[in-house]
Amino acid sequence: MKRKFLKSFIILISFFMTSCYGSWNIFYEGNNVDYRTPVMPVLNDLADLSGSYNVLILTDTHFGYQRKEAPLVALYLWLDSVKGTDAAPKFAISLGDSVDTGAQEEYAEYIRFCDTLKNLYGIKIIFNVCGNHDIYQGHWGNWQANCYPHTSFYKFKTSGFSWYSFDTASGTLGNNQLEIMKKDMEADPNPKIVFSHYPLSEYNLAFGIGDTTERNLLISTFLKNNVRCYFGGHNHYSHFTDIGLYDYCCPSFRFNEAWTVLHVDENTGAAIANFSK
Amino acid sequence: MFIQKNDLRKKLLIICMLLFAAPAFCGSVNLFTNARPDMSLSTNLSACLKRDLRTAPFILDSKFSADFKELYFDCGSALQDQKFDFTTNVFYMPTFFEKFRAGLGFGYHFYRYFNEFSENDILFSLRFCWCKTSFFNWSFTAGFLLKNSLIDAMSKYQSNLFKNSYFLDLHFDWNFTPHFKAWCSVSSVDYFDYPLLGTPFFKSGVSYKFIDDVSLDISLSLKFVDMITSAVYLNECILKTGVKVYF
Repeated sequence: MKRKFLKSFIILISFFMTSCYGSWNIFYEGNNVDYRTPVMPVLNDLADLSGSYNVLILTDTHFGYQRKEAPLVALYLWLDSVKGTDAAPKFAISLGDSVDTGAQEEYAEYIRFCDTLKNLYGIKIIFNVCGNHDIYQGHWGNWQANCYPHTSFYKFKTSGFSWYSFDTASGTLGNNQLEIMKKDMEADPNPKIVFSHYPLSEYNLAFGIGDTTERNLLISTFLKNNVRCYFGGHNHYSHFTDIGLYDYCCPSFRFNEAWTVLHVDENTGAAIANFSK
Repeated sequence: MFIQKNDLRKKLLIICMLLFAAPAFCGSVNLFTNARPDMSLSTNLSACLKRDLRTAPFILDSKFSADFKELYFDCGSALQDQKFDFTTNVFYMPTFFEKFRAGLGFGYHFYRYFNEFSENDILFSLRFCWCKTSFFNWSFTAGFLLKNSLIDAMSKYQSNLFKNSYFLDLHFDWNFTPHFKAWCSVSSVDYFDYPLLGTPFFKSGVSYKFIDDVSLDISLSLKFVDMITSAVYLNECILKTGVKVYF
């Protein structure tokens, strides 16, 4: 009887240990989405940005991953081709999983890449989103120290648009973020662009927002509050769907060797993106 | 080459049919127990110790079940602040060699989040239950989950969001005495909660019959959202207490 009990107990516990990213994270407060997102600061870096411009969107760059090279040359060639023209991106957004395991040496490599984009290609700012790999093995502190704007839940404004970033690195946004974001969106009449690590409506096997209550409430909130576009990564493939807002699941920079360019026209309120392939 | 392939398929089909039919020829399969079913009616109150976006502080639910051994039916509903759920299941699992049961299951779940959205979930499953002894048994279920979401705000753009997914369930039961039993399970769905694959529920509970036909049930449920691709994060913790009446 004892052996049977022990056997079934071991089977059950082994299921609990199946997470790729270490079950010990449960004891680490940085793994708690509510801990990471107590407030939503509003940033003023781009308040004067107006007219028509492009934004470079990268996701799942996975710096530190050894078995596949990131297509840096291809990206630099494209940036060279648009340098000095209106097509050159004004700023960039990294949709998370910037590094593979969250270790500091991987972040150092990522920061060198960001410096290249800023110094050689005139990209003013790179906004970061926190992804599940970024906080792997309790490395939230590394993400927070290295990645601008050093918070995973924030808002910034350009002359005509409001931009929101929220944290889905734990596979959920939680009550706190939804409440804060919902209240802010209801008070803000501007057209909006939202980005996070997980895609909005796209789901493949176990990749995506699995809790459909969260997904449905997000879609409902966005449609009621003039959100024009949503950008997510995580799934390592590209997908676009129009669900009343443009829902983009962006391709992985490292694994799909592709990036996304968002064309914004502040005067008309238009925002449309293209995948590089 | 084509003829050879066709012949091979025919042979495989015949072998499979014989294998599946073998227990019936041996007389070791019980397709249906023609006896009065074990019926029960339960009412539960859940206290949500850690809440996700789905759960209110308290949930009230009730459930009816009729167990014919090989054929099983249940239905239940749950009510909480802003939300209503209804679930029903039918399983057919013949008994083989008086040791195990295997068969098919069908389930349906309706979920309404008032003023926001509705969901319809349809579940098809393959089920296995090892029930050689009355003291200990375990069961395993694997199946398809078809989820259709109708979001009120989206209705003028696109009628619904449809997703295919899978679900798994592993369940252990210990009947220590006729009056006291314990159970635990790990499953990717719960009776009133059907996330897409990747969010396991770890549950355990005890049931004590304090009088002949009435038992007191207590269980604890832990929900870890997206445990496959993200670090383990406890999304929901529910303590459920209830009373079950057998008749």
